[in-house]
Amino acid sequence: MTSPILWPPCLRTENSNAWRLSGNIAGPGGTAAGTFPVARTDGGGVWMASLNAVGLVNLDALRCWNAIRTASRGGVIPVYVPRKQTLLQPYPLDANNRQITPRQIPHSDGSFFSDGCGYHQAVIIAATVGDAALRDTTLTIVLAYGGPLRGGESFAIYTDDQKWRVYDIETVIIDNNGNSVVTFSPPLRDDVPGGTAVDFEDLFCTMRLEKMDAMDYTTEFFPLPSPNASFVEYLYPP
Amino acid sequence: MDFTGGELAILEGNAYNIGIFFQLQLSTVQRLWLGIGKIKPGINAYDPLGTEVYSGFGELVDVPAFQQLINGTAERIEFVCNGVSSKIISVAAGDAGTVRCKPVLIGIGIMDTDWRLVAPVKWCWRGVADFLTFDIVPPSDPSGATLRTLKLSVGSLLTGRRRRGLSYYTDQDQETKYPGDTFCSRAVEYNQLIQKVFPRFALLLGIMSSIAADWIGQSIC
Repeated sequence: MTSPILWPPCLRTENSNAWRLSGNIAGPGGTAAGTFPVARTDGGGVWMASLNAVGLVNLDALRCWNAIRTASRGGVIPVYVPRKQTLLQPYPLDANNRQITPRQIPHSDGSFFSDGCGYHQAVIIAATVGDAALRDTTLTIVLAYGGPLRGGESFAIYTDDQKWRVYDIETVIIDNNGNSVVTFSPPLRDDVPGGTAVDFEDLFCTMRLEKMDAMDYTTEFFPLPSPNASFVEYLYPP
Repeated sequence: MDFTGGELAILEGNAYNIGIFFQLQLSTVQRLWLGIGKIKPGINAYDPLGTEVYSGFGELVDVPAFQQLINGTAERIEFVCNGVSSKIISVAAGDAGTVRCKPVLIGIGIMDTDWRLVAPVKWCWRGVADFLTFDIVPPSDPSGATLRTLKLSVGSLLTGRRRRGLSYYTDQDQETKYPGDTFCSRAVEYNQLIQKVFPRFALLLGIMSSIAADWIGQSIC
């Protein structure tokens, strides 16, 4: 199984991004009764994503972009593409009703690393309750530490066969145990055993370049270019 | 093909989800569907275990239109898969003969709004695979990509009536249809193109008359 390339942090500087589920819809046109029936045959759709105007802040970032473009082999090698949903993540609230967001964690003496960075730790802790089967669209999630789910959030799950996958929440119902029973789309790409971690913060989806020139750019020497990249979901065969 | 009440209720609506399933019954059955990712459709007429897995998206791009006819022209359809890799082309070239005379099935499954099958898959068309071909179209300009296409030609039951396929009783044909069957192994021993000449009865009658006359003459004498 081909190991995906992780989209590096220095390239997570896009000005905007777009994610959508793409599928097939067909219709026979108008019927004698005046209706226009449509049928979908895509089984739930496939993710397509675009990262727009990725800011390359220095030459190292430009070198990184070129290296990723070469390593992806025009779309043959999959890539872990990050999905930002900064304003929608269900962070817990503090006493002042403000979200507790991730911060750079210093050493025990309060100092940071030489580049100013500290340690990173996820804030939201969530996991599945009970086993879920391939193509299920319902999950029970226990939020050990996090804010309430309301619908419209996205989450990611990692499985050994299909790696990282992203799902969008449609509805949320709180059960008698206080867990969140969510419906989502697209259907699960793999069997998910109970206790699997559900990530609401650092979302990744296993994708590949949409086409061979999806990371191409016009060379600009000053300022550095702000290229785009487009991806389509990559599915491992059974 | 009977639809359940749940399926009929879905089909009576204006929007519905359909799963289209494809089987090529090689020694290892190839199961594909038009949806995204994997699916286990459960027990049906051709999946007795219920754990069979169908692969989707990119494996089978489209299913050609077909029809179920009575007293119509026997149908041949072609499945096309575009954008395959060069590795698949090389494998297909080497194994093209293995698909011949293998059953091909097309089925549909009605799904609800959560993409769950409402009832077992209904297999509505059965054909016989004939041959596998592939095309390689080079790019028209340097920035383009090479397009590789794989095509599987499948005929219905009576497609070969006029264009005879495996209708010769040679050992190779019999082994292809039924591996290990040596019924036709001695077919090569039979000569072909022998004209069997029937006797000329007028000449034979004359000879017999002559013999009879001689015998009668000798008897009288």
